[in-house]
Amino acid sequence: MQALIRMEKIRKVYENGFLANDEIDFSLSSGEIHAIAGENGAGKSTLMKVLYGLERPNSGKIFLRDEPLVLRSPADALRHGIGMVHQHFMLVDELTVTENLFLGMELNHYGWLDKAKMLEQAKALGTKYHMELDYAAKCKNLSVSQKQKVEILKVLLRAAEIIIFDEPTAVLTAIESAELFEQLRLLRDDHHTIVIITHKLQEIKDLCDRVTVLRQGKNLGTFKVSEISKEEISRLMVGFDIPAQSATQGTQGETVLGISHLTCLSKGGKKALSDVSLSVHAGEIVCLAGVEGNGQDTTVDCLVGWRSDYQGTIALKGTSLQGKTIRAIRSLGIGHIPADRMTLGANVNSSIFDNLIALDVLDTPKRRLGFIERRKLIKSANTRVDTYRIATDGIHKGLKLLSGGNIQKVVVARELDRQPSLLIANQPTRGIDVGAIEFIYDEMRRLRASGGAIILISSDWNEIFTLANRILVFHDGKIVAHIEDLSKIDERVLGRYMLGLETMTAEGGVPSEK
Amino acid sequence: MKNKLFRSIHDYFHTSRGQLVVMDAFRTLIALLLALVVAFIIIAVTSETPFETIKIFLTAPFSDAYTRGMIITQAVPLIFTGVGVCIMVKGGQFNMIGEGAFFAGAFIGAILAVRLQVPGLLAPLGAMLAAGIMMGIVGYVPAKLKAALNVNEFVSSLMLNFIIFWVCMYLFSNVFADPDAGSLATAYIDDSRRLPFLDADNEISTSILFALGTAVLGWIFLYRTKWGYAARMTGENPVFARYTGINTKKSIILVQIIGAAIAGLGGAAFLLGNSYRFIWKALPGYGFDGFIVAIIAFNNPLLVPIAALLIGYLRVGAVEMARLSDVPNEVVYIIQAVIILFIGGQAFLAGMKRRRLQALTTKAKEEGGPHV
Repeated sequence: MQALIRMEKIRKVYENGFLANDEIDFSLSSGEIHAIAGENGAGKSTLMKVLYGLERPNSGKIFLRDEPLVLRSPADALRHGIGMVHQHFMLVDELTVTENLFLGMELNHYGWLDKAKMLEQAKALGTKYHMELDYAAKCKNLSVSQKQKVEILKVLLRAAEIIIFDEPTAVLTAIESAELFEQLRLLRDDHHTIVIITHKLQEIKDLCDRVTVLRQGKNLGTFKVSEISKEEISRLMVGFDIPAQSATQGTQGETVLGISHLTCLSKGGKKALSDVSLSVHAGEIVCLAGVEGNGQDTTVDCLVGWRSDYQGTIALKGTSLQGKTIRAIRSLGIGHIPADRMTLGANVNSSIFDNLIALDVLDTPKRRLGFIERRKLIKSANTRVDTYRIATDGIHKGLKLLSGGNIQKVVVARELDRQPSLLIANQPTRGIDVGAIEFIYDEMRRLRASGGAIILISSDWNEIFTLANRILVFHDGKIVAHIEDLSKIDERVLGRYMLGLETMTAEGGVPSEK
Repeated sequence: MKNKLFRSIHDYFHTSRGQLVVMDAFRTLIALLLALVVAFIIIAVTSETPFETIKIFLTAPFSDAYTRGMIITQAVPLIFTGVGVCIMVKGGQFNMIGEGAFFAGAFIGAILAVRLQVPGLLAPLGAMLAAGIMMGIVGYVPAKLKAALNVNEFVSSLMLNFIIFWVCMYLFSNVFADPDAGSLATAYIDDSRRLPFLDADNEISTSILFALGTAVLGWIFLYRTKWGYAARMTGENPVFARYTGINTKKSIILVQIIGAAIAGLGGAAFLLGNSYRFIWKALPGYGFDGFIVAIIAFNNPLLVPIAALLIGYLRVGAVEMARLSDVPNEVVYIIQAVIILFIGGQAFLAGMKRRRLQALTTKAKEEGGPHV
C-alpha cells in the first residue's frame, strides 16, 4: 500500500513544557480506517491537530503522496483534502443545517444567496452517504448525533479525502455509534481515508483496519487490527513494565479516610459512582486505577468538597465531610494535587509567590485584622522554592515563565509542605520531565514514611507500581478489584479488570473492605 | 550607596516583572504618540494656524499655576473612579456602577453637608462617609445578582445607573431643589462646611489628598490583605480560587461593594471640594472615564493618580485650545475621543507583550533551570 500521508519525526512541545509528541512517525494508507489509540495525554489529539494544521510542530515533516506539505492553518489542510470532526462541535446554533454546511463558501447567483441550489447539493450529499437530516432545521434543535452528521457533511462538502475524528463516539449512545460506524464504512468504500482518535478498544476491533498506539508522546507501533488482540493493545496503551521490585509495604497505621457506600450521579443522570466503599490508612499509598472516567475523578470531587450531592459517608479521621465547604475540608488536613495543573492546580496569571502561599493566606490569624503576614509568607515561599528545588531566581516572577515540571513542583510544594494527613495526587507527574517526576515521587514517599495517607490516581502503570501499596480498580463507577499484593498480580487480569471484562470474586466476592 | 541603588534598579528592570512594566509603559507611550499624530492631523485640517494651535494644546496646561491646578482638579474624580474600577476588574468584575455611584455620591454629599447637624469640618467628612456607605449598599445589588444568579454585572450595573440617576433627579427637582437658585440646584453649601482648599488661589482642594489616600488604601487592600488576595485569585482564575478554598462568591460581592463605595465617596469629595452646590442634570461620565484610567494604570491603584493626571492634562489642553485657538469646540471633543480611544485601545499592541513572554519561556527552557 502506498502511504497517503507520512508524518516523520513530529515533535511538539507546548508552551508550558508539556512534551506532547516526541518524534512520532506515522503513516496513513489510502482507503483505510486507522485508529490512534492511547490514554488521555498520550499525544493523540496533538498529532492529529498537527495534521489538521491547528498546531505547528516544533520539528518534523509531513508528506502527502510523498510531496512535502506545510500546514499553517486548518484552511491549508482542507485545501489539501484533510478535514477534522471535532469532539466539541463547531456549529452556529442559530443557523440552519444548510447554512452551517455552506458557512464561508455560500453559493450565490449574481450576489444573491442561491438557497435552492445549496439545499439541493446538501441533500444530494446526505443521500449519498445515508445521512438523512432536516436541512431547514436550526442546529440548536438537533440531537448530538445529528449535529455530528452535520459536521461530517461539512467536511465532505469541502472535498476532504482524509477525515480525522476526535473521539467520535464519546457523545453517542451505543445505537448511534453503530450507525456512525456504518456510515464510516460507507465513506471508506467511497475511497475516503479515516482516522479515529479513541481509547475504546472495542471500537478499534469492530471498525478499524489498522491501529497506531501512542503512549507518553511516543509511537509504540502500528498494527493490523486483525493481528493484535484487545489485551495487547491495552497493554501497549498503559505500558505494562512492572518494575522488578514492588513497592515497599509500609506498616498500616490508623484509618485516615473512610468512604462507605458512596453513590453519586453524573451530569447526565447516570450513576457515576455506585456504592463505593474504601478506606485509606496512615502510611500507605492507595492507587485508584482504571480507565479515565470510570469513577476515580468523581470520588475525588466528592472527597475535596467540589460536589456534595452524594449519598453515603466520607469521613476524615472520623469527621464527616458532607456539607462542609472546600475551605473547611482543606483545613482538616487534605492536600490535593489536581490532574489539571494549568487551571485547577495553579493560577498561571499570577506570581510564583501567590501560588505557593495560596492556602496559608487564608489562615491569616484574626489578630492581623485581614492583613497578610507578608514577611512570614515570603520566608516560607522562599523555603519552599529551595526545598522543592523549583528552578527560578525570584518568587515574584510570573508562574507562566516556569516549565511544566516546575509549575507542578509549585503545586506539590504548596500541598505537601503543610504536612496533610491525606494527600490526593491525581496524575501527579503527567507530562513533566523525568527529573521532576523522580523528585515528586521522593516527596510522596517521604510523606508516606512520616505517616501521611495518599490516594494516587494515575494512568501510568510505572507510576502505580513504583508508588502504590494497594490498588483499587474502578470500572463503571464501581470498585471491581482490590489488589493487596502487587507482586502477585497478573498483568492480563489487571487489564481485564480495567476493561470491565472481569471482576474480582476470589477474595470474598465484594471487593470493598472491612 | 549609589552603586547599590544602581544595582537594585538594574535588577528591577531585569526581572520579568520589571521588564513587563517597561513594556507596558512603552506601549502606552506609543499609543499616546499615535493619538497625538492623529490629533495633529485633525488640527492641521481645521485650524488656520495649526502649529500655534498644537503648541497651545501641549504647553498651555503648564503655562501658569491656575492651569496646573486645573490638571489636578480634573484628575481628582478620575482617581476615585479609576481606583474603584481597578479593584473591581482585579476581582474579575466589569461593573459600570461607578458612573451612577459617583453622580449619586455627589448628590448625597451636597445635601448632607448642608443638613448634617455637626460642626464645621465634620459635615463634609460625615457626608463623604455616608455617600460611600450608601453607594456600597447600592453596589450590593448587582454584586449579589452576579454571585447568586450569575446575572452579568456589566448589564445590570448599566441598567442600575439609570435607576440611580432618575431617583436622584426626582429627589433633586422635587425635594432638594433650592427655590432661591436661578436654575435647578441644591442649597448653597457654606464655606465652612466644604472641604478646604490646599491652594485657594488655584482652586486646588484637599479632595486630591483623599483621592491619593484612596489609591494607597486600594493598593493595600489588593496586595496586603487576605480579602484582596482572595479577590485577585478569584479574578484571575476563579476555578483555582475555589479549589484552594476561597469563597469566590464573597469575593465577587466584596469587590463590587468596595468599587461602588469608592465611587460614591469620590463623588461627594469632588463636590464638596470643588463646587458650592449640586447642579448636574446629566451623568458626568467620570465613571466611564474610570475604566480608561484603570486601563492606562494596568489596574494598579498606585499608578492610577499618574494615569488620571495624564488624562487631566489632555483635558486641560483641550479646554485651553478651545479657549485660545480657532479650533471649534466640537473638534476638541473629537481629539479627546481619539486620544482616549488610542490609549484605551492599546490592546492591539498586547501581542508584542505575549510574544516577548513566549520568547522568555522558550529561552528559560533551553537554558534549563539549575535543578531540572
